[in-house]
Amino acid sequence: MTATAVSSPGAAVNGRRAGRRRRLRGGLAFYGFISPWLIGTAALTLFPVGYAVYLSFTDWNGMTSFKPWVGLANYQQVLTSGDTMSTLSKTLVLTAVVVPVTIAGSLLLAMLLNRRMRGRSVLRMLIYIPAVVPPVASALIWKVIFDKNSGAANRLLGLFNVNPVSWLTGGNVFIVLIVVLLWALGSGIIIDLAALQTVPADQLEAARVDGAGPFGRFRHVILPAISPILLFQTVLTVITTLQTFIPAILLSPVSSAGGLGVFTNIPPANQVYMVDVYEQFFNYSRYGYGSAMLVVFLFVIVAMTALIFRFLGRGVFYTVDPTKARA
Amino acid sequence: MVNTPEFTRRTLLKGFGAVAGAAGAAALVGCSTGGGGSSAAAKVADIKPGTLTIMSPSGGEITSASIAGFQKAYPQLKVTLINSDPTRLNAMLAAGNPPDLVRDAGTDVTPYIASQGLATNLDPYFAQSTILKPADIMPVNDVWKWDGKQQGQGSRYGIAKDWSQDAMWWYNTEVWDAAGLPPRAPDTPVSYDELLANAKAMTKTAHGKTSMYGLWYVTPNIDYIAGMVATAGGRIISEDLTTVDFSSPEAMQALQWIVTAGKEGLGYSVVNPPADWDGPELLASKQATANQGYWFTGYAATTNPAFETKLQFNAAPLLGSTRISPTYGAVGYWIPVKAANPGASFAWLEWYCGGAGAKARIAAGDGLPSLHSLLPLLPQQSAYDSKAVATQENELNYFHVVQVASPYAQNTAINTTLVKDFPPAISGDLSVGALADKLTTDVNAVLAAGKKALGQ
Repeated sequence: MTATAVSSPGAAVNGRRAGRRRRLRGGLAFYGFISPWLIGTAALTLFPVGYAVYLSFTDWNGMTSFKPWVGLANYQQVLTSGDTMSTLSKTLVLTAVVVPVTIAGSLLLAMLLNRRMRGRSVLRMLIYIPAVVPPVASALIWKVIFDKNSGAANRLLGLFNVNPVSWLTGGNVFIVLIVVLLWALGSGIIIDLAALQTVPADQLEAARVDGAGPFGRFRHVILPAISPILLFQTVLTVITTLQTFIPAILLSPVSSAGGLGVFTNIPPANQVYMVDVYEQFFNYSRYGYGSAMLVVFLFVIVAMTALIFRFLGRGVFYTVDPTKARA
Repeated sequence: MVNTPEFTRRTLLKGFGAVAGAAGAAALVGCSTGGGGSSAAAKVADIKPGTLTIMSPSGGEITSASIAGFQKAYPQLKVTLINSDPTRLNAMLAAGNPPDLVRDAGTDVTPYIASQGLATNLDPYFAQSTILKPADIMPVNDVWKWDGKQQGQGSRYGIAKDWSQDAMWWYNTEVWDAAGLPPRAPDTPVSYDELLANAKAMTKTAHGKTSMYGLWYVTPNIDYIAGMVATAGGRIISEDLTTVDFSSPEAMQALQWIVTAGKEGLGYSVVNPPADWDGPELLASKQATANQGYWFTGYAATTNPAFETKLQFNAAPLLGSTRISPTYGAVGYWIPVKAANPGASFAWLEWYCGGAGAKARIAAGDGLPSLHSLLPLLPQQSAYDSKAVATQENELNYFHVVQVASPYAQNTAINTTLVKDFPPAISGDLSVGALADKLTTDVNAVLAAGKKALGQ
């Protein structure tokens, strides 16, 4: 006979109450602990996003209290504007170049740095340094390096009798933008180095015993083992590249707006999507239209992320089934 | 017994009705504010003790010595500087909590801030001021006037801290002489065509690399183009300030000049930008000329005094035969309508633009004063100083307000459009005629969008 069977009805009720109290206390503790995050998300993410969505239905100029309601007109204009298509296609080209080179390049360098060799720590540190240089400083340094008349890039070309190239104008400035973005490979290398430490040594050894060469071991052991990390890295790199903004505006020439904090001279080749959004907000004072551009871009980013999961997710090998995993 | 309010469906509906009514009224007020027209003159407010927040570029434009001097004169006030940031300004204005003073270019912003009811009408303040007396205020400050239709007339919405006639220019006499060019009389204007020929003689290029540009950094800018066109008797913006036209013969002449200068590589251009603005480039002997006004004396004196002897200051060039020498800025301050302490804000204007603060800056050669009575303070210690002052004093006779700004768009928006449209013309992919048409279409679209945003 169990204890429950012998206990009185009152005791059972008390037991249920105690259980409820425990659950309530647990629930309160849970919400108490996550409330700072919840409040922060609501105040700093949900409210601004909601406000931007509201603004996207207006023609607000950012200064007056007058916010004329224009319904879907801004969305219609965003989706039919040649400028949107032009800036979006530039952004996609940038992403198509930067993401594969970043992922492959950082993995290659990580594998090289994962070998036992003299000075490995120093090399790792040197390669990681660019990743900790603030993007503003990095863009300005590259601007000096690629200056037509006094930059190091043209001096180097001069050694081979190549005429100076105007790097910061025309289509060339887009190449400089790509260089600036690729320069920060270091953070990817660190992630890949960490991922490479998780590759089971016994599996690598078994593959070697079975006669697998370096490429075979990479293809059949290393790649599957680090594939979840690579997927994470791909998603993150795609999102950050799509949102490229600071280097693009900092590679602009001196602004004619003289000290007023607005960039009016952003080269057309660097007019990626977020630069266009910046101009709509702060150069053209079109807060409503700029907000509609942001909402549309949010959907583009979500769609691209979903596509990555759909197509690359199939090749990812999980040692633990993520759908059944519990904390 | 405490009576607790009873929340019934009826009282809640009443409450919602009151809130909705207030919101509707606020919206209507917003509509009327945003609808345009200049705002009514404010009553003169007393100086309340507290903090005076000034939005101005960081980097020492307002020095700590200036702040200390002002706080000594007004011990009840404490000055706080916030960096010029259009985003922050917009947010502060929209939230009804603006800075007490905003530093801006009068040529560019006056129609916009006055017509949208953002700036305080300062007529009553100037009328009672013992420092900024209307009879003593120099005509440049007309750019801070707006009558609801025209810039240059009507009520005052701000005042320049110091200013220059920005179409004037400087040349390096050593480079000029080395090119075999005859010395110029500083007070005789050169034609823009002659200037191009001179620039060509001074430009040094070898193996695709230019070691000396004969001309300054020609950046497509509405102030610059409108100033050029005015000297040929034309104008860019329509009388009602709603549209622009770049296809007039005078405007086409100006566009052709800018395109030629860029195409021939005589100066830095939008397709070949410099690493820095005119000043450092001139003083580093990378370019032979600089398109800067009188304020450049102070810059040269503090940056590279030894270079001063090489410099000559010259009258503004002419595209046609109308002698006009405009300002591209008249940079000063305006007071937002919702500024918390307008009396204190005006005290700053008096002290910094006409009082002790102004006197110190004018004596250092940082620009021309806003008051006639301060002109004798311009530095004349050396022969170089005296020559620059003489050229400047003669040029004052040709000052004229050139209308460039519109109530429907800020000049930043117009200049962004110009910078986008010019490169194909300089690269040779677009004719000057096609450029003029494109500029007219694109800038008119910007103005139309601004007008629509105001519900007009």
